[in-house]
Amino acid sequence: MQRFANPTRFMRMANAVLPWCAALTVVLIAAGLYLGLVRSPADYQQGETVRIMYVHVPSAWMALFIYASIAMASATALIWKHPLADLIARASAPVGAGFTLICLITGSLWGKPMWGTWWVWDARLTSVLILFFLYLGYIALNNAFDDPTRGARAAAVLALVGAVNLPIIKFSVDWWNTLHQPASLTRLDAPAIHSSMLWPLLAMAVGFTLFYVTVLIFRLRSEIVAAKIRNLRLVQIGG
Amino acid sequence: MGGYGAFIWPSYLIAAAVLIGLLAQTLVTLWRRERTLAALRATIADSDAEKDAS
Amino acid sequence: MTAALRQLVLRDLRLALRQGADAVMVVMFFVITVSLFPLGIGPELNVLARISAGVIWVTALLATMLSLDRIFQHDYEDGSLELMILAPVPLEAVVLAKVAAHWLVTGLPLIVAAPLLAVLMNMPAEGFATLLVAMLLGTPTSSLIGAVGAALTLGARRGGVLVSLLVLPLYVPLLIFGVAAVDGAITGLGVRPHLLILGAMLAAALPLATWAAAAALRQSQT
Repeated sequence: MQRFANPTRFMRMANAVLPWCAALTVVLIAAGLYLGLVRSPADYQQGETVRIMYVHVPSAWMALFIYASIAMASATALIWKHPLADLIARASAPVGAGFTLICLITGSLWGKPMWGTWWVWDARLTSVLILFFLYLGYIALNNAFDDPTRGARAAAVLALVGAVNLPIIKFSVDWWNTLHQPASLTRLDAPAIHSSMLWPLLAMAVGFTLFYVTVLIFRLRSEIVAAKIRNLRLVQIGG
Repeated sequence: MGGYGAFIWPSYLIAAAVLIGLLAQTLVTLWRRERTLAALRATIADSDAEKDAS
Repeated sequence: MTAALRQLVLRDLRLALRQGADAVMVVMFFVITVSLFPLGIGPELNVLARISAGVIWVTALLATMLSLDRIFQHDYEDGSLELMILAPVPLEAVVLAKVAAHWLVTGLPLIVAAPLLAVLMNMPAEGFATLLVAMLLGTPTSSLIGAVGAALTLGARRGGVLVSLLVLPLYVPLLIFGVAAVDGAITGLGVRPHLLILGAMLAAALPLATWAAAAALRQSQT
């Protein structure tokens, strides 16, 4: 971990990876779209609407994965006072909120033809909605202070408190009897879905992850530039 | 799309809109900040040069 | 240390009493807001009975939230919070004392007022006892979670609105199980599991929220 501790070195490495990430993102999402919209068959129960799952499920994974990343980065920032961890947490939040929004909207678009309603107040939907609110609260708290380090610290504590919600989302489908179906992929040796549906799902999931990494690197660069601007303004005022 | 196109296409379009919007917002912010930084560096260099001249 | 903490609780209580109407205001908000619902929804008794538990819980949580700025705000502004952080007493204990004082001033009056509102909302008699027990378990948790939000937003711009954005999502589990307990009592489906979960949330929030609020207070001074 110490190798990544130096922001300059980290950014040099990140910039070297960036073009590859961006290119792979495009390739994988294009492949996912082709496999999902053209090659994969309609589900025998859900019919054609199963194609919504190729966006919905990966974005749900991303929503949880990015929140977990924020929580881990926040813990690192609080314990080791690591400046880069603060920036990673801060830069990840809007991307996570975006994926949560996609998850909610596509879920709603799937629910209307399948369940006959845009929205049901069951455990899974409600807890993802709360996750969305947590993202918004996190972003708002991060920006609510004149001193950015203050905002980062406060938001880090909030991220850790909000992490309580993650296991609730993961297990809500098992704990409550709800309309929402349980995960189909957890049995890796014998997944409950056919490979013609598994491949588009995985392509989209990896594509979304790389999209997150790409945007994250851009946002980190942007945050570092913003920090330089702040420092220069301070120098200017100080004479 | 088996009569469900009205639900499938919007979900792909909205997902694309959110992701592209995120990317665009990120890049525009980065670009603006880099310009501000360059301008700031230029003014500081100018004022330093004036100090040296006087 | 216990003496110091007792002093702290008594000091907060005395301050609350001197500043007068704070506890009364919270209860007034509670009563007035609940009584708006029959006016808005219509006075059908069976509809009111159906929604009574939910309305009382939502309003109680909102009332708690409105009083959160009192926990740390004054001490933050006049600098006594800095002294509490520097004091030999652990900050977590200070947080616990201040939360206890906050609960005595707001949570307890809400519980006292709840049966009156249950009558106004035509709640079936079977639900009363459970409502009181559930609120007895739930309001300390809401004060604890609220203390985290209040500590995080010290010195923030638009702190009042921000605290609701942070705290209300975290109140959702309390609301769900608090209402489920009362509904379970009314329908005869059993209240024990819901009350146990409320108790578990209190037991989890005691160490977690105290730690988080103390961490937030420490970083508020930098």
